[in-house]
This record gives sequence, C-alpha cells and structure tokens, in this order.
Amino acid sequence: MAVAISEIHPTRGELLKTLRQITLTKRGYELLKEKRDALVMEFFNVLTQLEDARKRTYEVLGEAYRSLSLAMVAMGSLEVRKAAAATGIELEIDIATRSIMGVAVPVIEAQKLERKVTERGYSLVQTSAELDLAAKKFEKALAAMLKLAEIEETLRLLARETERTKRRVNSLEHVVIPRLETIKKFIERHLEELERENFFRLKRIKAMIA
Amino acid sequence: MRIAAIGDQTTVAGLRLVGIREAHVASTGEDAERKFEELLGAEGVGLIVITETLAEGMRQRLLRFAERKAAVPIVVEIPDKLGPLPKKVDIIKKLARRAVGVEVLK
Repeated sequence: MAVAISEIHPTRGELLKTLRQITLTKRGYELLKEKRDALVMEFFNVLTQLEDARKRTYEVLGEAYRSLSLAMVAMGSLEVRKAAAATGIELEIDIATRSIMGVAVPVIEAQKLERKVTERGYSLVQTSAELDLAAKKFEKALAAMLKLAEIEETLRLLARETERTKRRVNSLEHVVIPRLETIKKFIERHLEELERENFFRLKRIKAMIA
Repeated sequence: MRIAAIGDQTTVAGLRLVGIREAHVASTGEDAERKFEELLGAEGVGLIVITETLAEGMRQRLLRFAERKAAVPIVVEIPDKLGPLPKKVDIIKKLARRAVGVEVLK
C-alpha cells in the first residue's frame, strides 16, 4: 500500500485500478463506521445492567457477611473457619461464550450453586444453624458475583473491540483514503498533461504542413 | 472450571463455605499479588474473586491485566465485610472513557 508517488505508473489502467480501490475502501469505511456505532450502542445497553448488578452484589454480600458474623458469635470464629475449611464438594463453573456483534463475551454458569446442608462438608454436630444460614446467604452472594463478573467482562471486551474498530475507522479516514485520492489526482494530472502535449504536437505538425 | 479467591479471613471463610476450595488469605497488596500470579499459572481457574481492599493494593497489576487477550481467568472485585470502597480507579469506567470518548459512569 505504501508506495511512493514516484513509483506509480501514471497510466489509464492504473487509474482504473485506483478508482476501484477507492470505491472498495470507502464501502469498507462505511461498514466499519456502522460497526463502531453498533458496538457503542451495545456497550451502553450492557452498561445499564452494571449499576444494578453491582448494587445487588453489595446488598446480598453485605447480608452474607452479617450472617457470618452471627455464626462467629454463636460458635466462635475459629470453629467457623474450621468448618469452612472442610469446603465439601468443589464448586464448578462453566464459562461459555455468546456473541455480541462478533465479540465473544462470556456467560458464566455455576453447576449446583445451592447445596444441601449435608453437601457442604462440615460436621453438622459441631456447627450451629447460623452457619447454615450464612452458607446459604453466601451462595446467593456468589450468584450475584458471577452475574457481576459476566457483565464487567462483557463491558471490558466490548470496550476493547470498540477501541480497535475506532482505530481502524480513523486510519481509513485519515490515512488510507487520502493517500488513494492523492494517487488518483496524480495520475489524472499526468494523463491530462500527456493529452495537452499531444494536442499541441498535432497543432504544430498541422502548422508545419500547411 | 474452578473459582479461586483472594481475600481477608472472613471473606475467605464465607467463600469456602460455598465450595470454593482455592480461597487464599492475603493481608497486604503484595501478598495478594503473589497469590494472584500463582493463580494465573494454575490450570483450570476460570474466575478469580478479589476483595476490593486487596485489589486496591495491587491496582497497577490489575490494570495491566485488564489489557490481556486471554478469555480466562476473569477477575471480579467484591467488597469485604466493611462494605464497598469508594473506588479511586474503576477499570470499567476507564475503559469506557477510552472507547466511547465520554464520561459514562458517575
């Protein structure tokens, strides 16, 4: 693409080629501009969900912490930590992707987030009911966290793609298209010059013959 | 995939209750950053949960992490038991400003 003006053959064929290239590039530019605008719209769409997701996470997590403190009061923080260390079955999540405007964004799903008391791994004899409640609250909080993570990550990816598209749009608008236009003008001028030379030559010859 | 977490003792206890085995206690930002690097190297970690206080202590690393190409792990920051921090640097806000060119979040 980056050819110096002096290396261009100012011929009619080259002119046609350049004209075709300009049409193609301009079409690509329009499409990219549309993509950029669509991405920005999607970004704002998802952004409206962010505030809610954050608030919800803060709320349920706050509740979960309160329940956990109550459990610590009831059975002592050491016992709570001991019970927590048992963990039971490891929690698994699935991260699938879906596509927004060709950007692959994550969809996080937890397998079996809510567990029965017996599945949590800690001894039921040595723990109090407060701990069960705290665990339940934390399950809810985790669900909110997963949603929040999904939304934040989606925004991050959309922002990055928007930025990249913006850069391409700018480079087409400010570099590629102007350069093609310059080449086109250069060839046109050269061809016109040839034409004038030829015309003049014919006139001269005509004058000499007459 | 698994979830991993870095937090204070209370947060870690809470998360362990719901079956997150890889919940690590960290006390300082540097400590958290070390754990974070370890988790990045680990196989099958899909999500890393970090408490905001610790995240604030390793902010530069997280900002750099936000530029990554890899899809996983995803990082999410959550408040600790003292509640949400007034954020000095909101990564999403920063990205949004760069992409859209205007301030979008208050």
